[in-house]
Amino acid sequence: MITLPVRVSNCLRPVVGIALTALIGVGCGALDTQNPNIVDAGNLDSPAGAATKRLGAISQFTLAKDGDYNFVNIPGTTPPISNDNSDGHVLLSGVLSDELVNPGFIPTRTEIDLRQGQPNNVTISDFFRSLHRARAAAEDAATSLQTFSPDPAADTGIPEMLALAGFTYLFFAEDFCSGVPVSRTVGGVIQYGDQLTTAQLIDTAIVRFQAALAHPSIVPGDPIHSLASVGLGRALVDSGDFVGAGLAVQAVPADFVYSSEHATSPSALQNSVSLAWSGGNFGVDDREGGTGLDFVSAQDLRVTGDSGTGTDGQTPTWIPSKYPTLEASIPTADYLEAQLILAESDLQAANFPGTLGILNALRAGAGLADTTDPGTPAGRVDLLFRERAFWLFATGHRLGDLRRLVRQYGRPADSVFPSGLYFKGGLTYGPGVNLPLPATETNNPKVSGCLDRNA
Amino acid sequence: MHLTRLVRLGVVLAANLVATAVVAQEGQLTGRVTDERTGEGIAAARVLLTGTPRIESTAQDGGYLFRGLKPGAYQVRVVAIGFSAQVKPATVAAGETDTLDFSMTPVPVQLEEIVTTATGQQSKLEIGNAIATIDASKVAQEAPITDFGNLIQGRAAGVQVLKSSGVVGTGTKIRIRGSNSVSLSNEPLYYVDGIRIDATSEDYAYDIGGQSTSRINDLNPDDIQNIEIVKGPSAATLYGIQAANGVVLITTKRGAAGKPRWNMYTEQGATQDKNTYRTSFFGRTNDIDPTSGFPIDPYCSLQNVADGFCTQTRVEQYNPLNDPAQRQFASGWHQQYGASVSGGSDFATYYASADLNDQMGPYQLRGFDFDSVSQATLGNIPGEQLRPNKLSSLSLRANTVAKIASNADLNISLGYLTSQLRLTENDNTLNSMVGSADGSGVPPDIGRGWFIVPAQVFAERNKQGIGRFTGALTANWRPMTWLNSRATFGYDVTNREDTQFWPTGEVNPDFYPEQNTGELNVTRGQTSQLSVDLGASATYRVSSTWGAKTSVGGQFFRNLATSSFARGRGLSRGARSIFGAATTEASDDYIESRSIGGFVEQQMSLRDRLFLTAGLRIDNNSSFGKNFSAQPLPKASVSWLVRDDQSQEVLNTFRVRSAYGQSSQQPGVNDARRFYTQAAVRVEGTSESGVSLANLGNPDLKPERSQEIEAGFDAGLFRNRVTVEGTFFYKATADALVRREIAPSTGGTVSQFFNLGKVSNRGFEFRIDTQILDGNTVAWDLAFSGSFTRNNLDRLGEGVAPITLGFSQQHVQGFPLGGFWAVPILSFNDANNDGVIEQGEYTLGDSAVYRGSPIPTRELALNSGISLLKNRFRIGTQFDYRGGHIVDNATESFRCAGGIVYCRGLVDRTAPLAMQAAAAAATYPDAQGRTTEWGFFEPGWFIKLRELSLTFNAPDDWARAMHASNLSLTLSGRNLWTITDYTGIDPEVNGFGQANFSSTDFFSQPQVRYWMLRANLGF
Repeated sequence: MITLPVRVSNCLRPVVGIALTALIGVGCGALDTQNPNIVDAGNLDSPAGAATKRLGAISQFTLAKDGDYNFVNIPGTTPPISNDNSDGHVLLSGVLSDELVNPGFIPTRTEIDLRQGQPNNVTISDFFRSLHRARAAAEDAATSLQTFSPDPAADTGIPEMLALAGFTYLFFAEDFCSGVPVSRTVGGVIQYGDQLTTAQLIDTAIVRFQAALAHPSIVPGDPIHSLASVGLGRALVDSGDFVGAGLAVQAVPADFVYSSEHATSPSALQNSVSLAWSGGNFGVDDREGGTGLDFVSAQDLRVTGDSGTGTDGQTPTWIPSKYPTLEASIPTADYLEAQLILAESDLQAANFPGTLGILNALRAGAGLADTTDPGTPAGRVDLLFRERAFWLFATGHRLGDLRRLVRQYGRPADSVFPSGLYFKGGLTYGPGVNLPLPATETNNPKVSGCLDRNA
Repeated sequence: MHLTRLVRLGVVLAANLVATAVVAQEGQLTGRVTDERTGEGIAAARVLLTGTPRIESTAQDGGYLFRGLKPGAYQVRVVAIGFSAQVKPATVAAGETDTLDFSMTPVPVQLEEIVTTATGQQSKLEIGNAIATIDASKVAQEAPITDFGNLIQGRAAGVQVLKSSGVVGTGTKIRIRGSNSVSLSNEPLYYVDGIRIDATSEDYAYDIGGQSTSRINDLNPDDIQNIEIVKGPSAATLYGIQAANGVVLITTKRGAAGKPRWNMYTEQGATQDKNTYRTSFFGRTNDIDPTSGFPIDPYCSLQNVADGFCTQTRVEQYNPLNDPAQRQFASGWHQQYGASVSGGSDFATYYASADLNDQMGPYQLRGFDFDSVSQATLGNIPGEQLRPNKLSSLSLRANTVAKIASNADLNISLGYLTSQLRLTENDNTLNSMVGSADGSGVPPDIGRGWFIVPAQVFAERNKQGIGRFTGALTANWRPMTWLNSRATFGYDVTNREDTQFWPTGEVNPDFYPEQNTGELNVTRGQTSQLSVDLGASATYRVSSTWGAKTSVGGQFFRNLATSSFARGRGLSRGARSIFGAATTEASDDYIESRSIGGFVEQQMSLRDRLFLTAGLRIDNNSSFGKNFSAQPLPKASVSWLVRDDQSQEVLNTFRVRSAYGQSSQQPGVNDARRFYTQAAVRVEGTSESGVSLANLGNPDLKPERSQEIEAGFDAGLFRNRVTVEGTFFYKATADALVRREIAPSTGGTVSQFFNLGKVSNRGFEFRIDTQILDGNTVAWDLAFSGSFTRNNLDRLGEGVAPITLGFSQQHVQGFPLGGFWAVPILSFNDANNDGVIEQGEYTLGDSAVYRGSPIPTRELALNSGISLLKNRFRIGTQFDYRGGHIVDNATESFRCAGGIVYCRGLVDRTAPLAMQAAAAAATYPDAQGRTTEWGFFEPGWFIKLRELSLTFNAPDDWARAMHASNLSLTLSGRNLWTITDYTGIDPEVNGFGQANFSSTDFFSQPQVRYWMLRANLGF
């Protein structure tokens, strides 16, 4: 042992300080790490990056519309964050309407099926997020292509992205209550958006579709032009402009169909609607809640299926066969819908023969017998919406139609939406006609809840 | 001026070196430490040369030896468990060996110990913090210990061991002095023999319900000598980044000089589920639903009756888990075999062990399910399906300490584990045995009352295989008597294979249509932790009364986790391979982080009674945002031994202490970066890959910064028959990383990290150890410990809305983290006097209000040991209390509001009205369309008879007859009795496993009972 004067021990401190500084300095290079699973945002600011964003936007749109049953944790995140894992527009709009029921056990789906969706319902919040991600991805890809594409004027990806963005606004308007906000991230900073009414959402969709149609890369008859045309027609129908809707879709060619495509592998590409049906997660209840259509008992060729069992292994249900495989595509817009828009345009113009002619022409094409004039205004509306329901079964249109029956045709909600005793479990239907804003959206300081829960 | 000091220091050092070379002669000090009652040597006593960094352990015969001592006077201090510490002067002469013996006086309870710190080992008296120490080797020998968590449970004040399930092999969550972080891990760091190890608390690749595994349970309790728990930032500063949640220091067993000593043990026991499960209620009617055409039966609820939809003819009750013919529980066999050998010489000691462990969970295919599978497999039921929960492990350990020179030694610590764990889906899922019964919602005439029959539940096979190597190499070099330096290199690598196999055609085709075509998922991963720790301490006297110690150190740490996933779906019957599957899929992940840092610490001591310490640490880490620069973390402490007088009748020793310190917690590896990940897409018939935004990033991200101040005392009373330890603490985490949920309308990701919040924990913890009786015939020692902690989210950040977790939990400013919130049921009234609370006959509050904390805020433990007939028999008990928290009885809530009504409150007219109101308010919306979980939040307090053991220490001649030196037998039980107000099965469960805050009882497997018989044999 030695004895040092106090001042000598003090001398150790700067030495130690120098040593520590040196250690940390030397260590700077030692902190370099690899991250092979992630793509830095800056690497996408190029023509190839913009094209990759377009593909990503189509992927996101497909997942938001058709569902995303492939639960995965996103690589590179700690603690892990999962994908949206959403049921999607087709299934959730269907289950809130009379199109589909939940023969399974997941309470959040039952809640929606019961027309009692609550803001803290994670099924709703997952779908809401997924749809907004699809919207943002499409708009971002459109901007990116406009900026980095070698020839933006000839790049059909731009109107395609604008059209897909338009559809996301439509889905918000058709599925959710009035008051859906649209926020953005600019330069990494969040800019919270004001709440938009249902009418404003539809108007925004119209603006997107019109912008797409105005793009010089496409002309009438092109698939992307037809996609935007049908989207515009659908938006105008939602807004009550039936004349404009008819005009928008009249040039859509008979062979047009724009679909979300699927594959068996990898799982992320599978048709989640088909997957959900085969697993008994969703099924059909004939004349659901007493007011629903006879999807099962009608034995219509357009809506076929077979009896099955719900996910719970006990609840009897009826499983549609519309998407028989995991590779089956789901149309986003097609000639069929364009014709149905024309038919409704004629109905609104008091030209029911024109309506009937279109409907029977479509039926003839499918080998179905002609339908006849019910003879009353209400009966004609019922017929048109029934035809729409069967033609557009499980494509994400029925909820919007039921809401239009209430909003545009003056039907009481309980006369078109399922009501009364629920088909299982000792429960009864609630009054909901749309999905509420999820509680997670209250992180937006401009939002406190729905502006209006009416149709 | 500084330069002048440096020159002076250099002169002194040079002079000393020259003196060393010239003198060349050193002395030795040797001696023997014995028990004054018996004269026998005391092994593993710690002999310290005070004022120097030198510490030696005594050999088996109590002998010790210091080599390479500078001639001069020393104060020699001996500390041994169960004995009063002693100090004697010694003089060492050049070229001679001086002898100094110690005859130690037994004391009932220990006041002074040697503990491990970041700068090396030192006396607990010198430290201003409360450090909990657990004599793990003794606990493992006498108590019913099934995993590492059991060693700590109820033995360290302020340390909560939160088990989430009774399934064998599932994980443990540990909280020390509350939860510091809103969004990051609140688990402490773990060090084994000086190196940091992987202690991931959720480590199974697949979602099999709420349960997962914890890597900390890889440690073999029988290999652990002692555990020291450094409780918070005030003590953990020098451990660097991520130490804010405390540090658990584990020391494995070492050999002592002497002949080889063998120890063998075997443990045989049983795991049992003795719980009575909830009864399901079915409202029976003969009516047919006119709309659907389906029978309403068996769901004619009281509300349906009130609405006129059905007429309830009877109420039936059933749960297959309570039906002996269907119950799929059977005693699980527990067996363990172990052997160790230790010994050595003055120059080298060794310890080697092997342990074989086999724990069977309580699940077993029985009854009809057994018969059906047996018939299908022609009697060859796969073991994994017959007993789907089992843990088998082999642990090997080899430690050695070699004195490679008179002033240097080398410590090598090697551990290897291989284990296989079978798991079945469990908790938070209906596809589990408990969930399929508790959550089925069907009476026995439909599917025998199961949601999925057990034969199909158990057909899904989940396995985790582990191969883990942990190696530590520590070199200690004392170039001068007053200077001690060390270098530690550690490598902890875990190779993991998680598999999930769904045999073709054997799982439920309705629930798992794809998996029923046959599916095999395989995830192979490797986690490695590389650590380098360099340090030096200079101990010297600055005057005749003041001593000093200056320490510096630097650490490098690298964590790398890689994994590859492969899936094959569509397997031919009998196949269990991805090769040739109809469809295949693959993925991978790579997460790496690195940190580097250093510290300096200065300690001053006055007459070995007053100890002052100050230190500073600085770290840098690969996960910090690019705009952030490293910041220093300070610490300071004081310890004052006010009284040390063994002659007093009442107060013998009294020490006051206080400490302040800061620590930090790093963000996730990529949290600061804005990045995309690949996204598959199908376009025009071709599969391609796009990108999807995965993280918004935050370039300003920095570590959370926790600071803590604690103050406490230690007292030895009544000739040290009683020791009392009490500590107040307050810690606050500023710049708390908040994973802020982003409004979905941004179209971004789910969340983004910000340094926004502030979290505080304040509380009091205490421990009282006493020897009530100290006779030869009867001796009784009692330890009573506990803590009271108040957690609060002081600030969540401007503009940040409360963060919602799980079903009903939120982080709300001004309340505990993860608190339960719901709209309250203000009142209920059977307005129409029909004996039923119907929809609308209750009043809900305007908005959600706070109901309680998900984590216990109070914990008390009473450990008692009674020795009879000169310790021939010893009876040990542990009572464990937790309280001050809420459990969400989500199982019962689901049975009411899950879409099918089969809970008592909505079906049985005789149910108490409060129960009916709780159920109705959760199920039927009020006039504003709201439902509430309020009625299912229940006080979660419980008292458990956690441990009961009876040990028989056989007479020496019994042992000699077996050519052994000692023999003991222990019969013990675990989780034997529970007192609680909770109406579920067990309040000590969590359907979210080891999740940070999310907590629920949702089809959770309750804790199971263990019975064990252990035999220890020493040679």
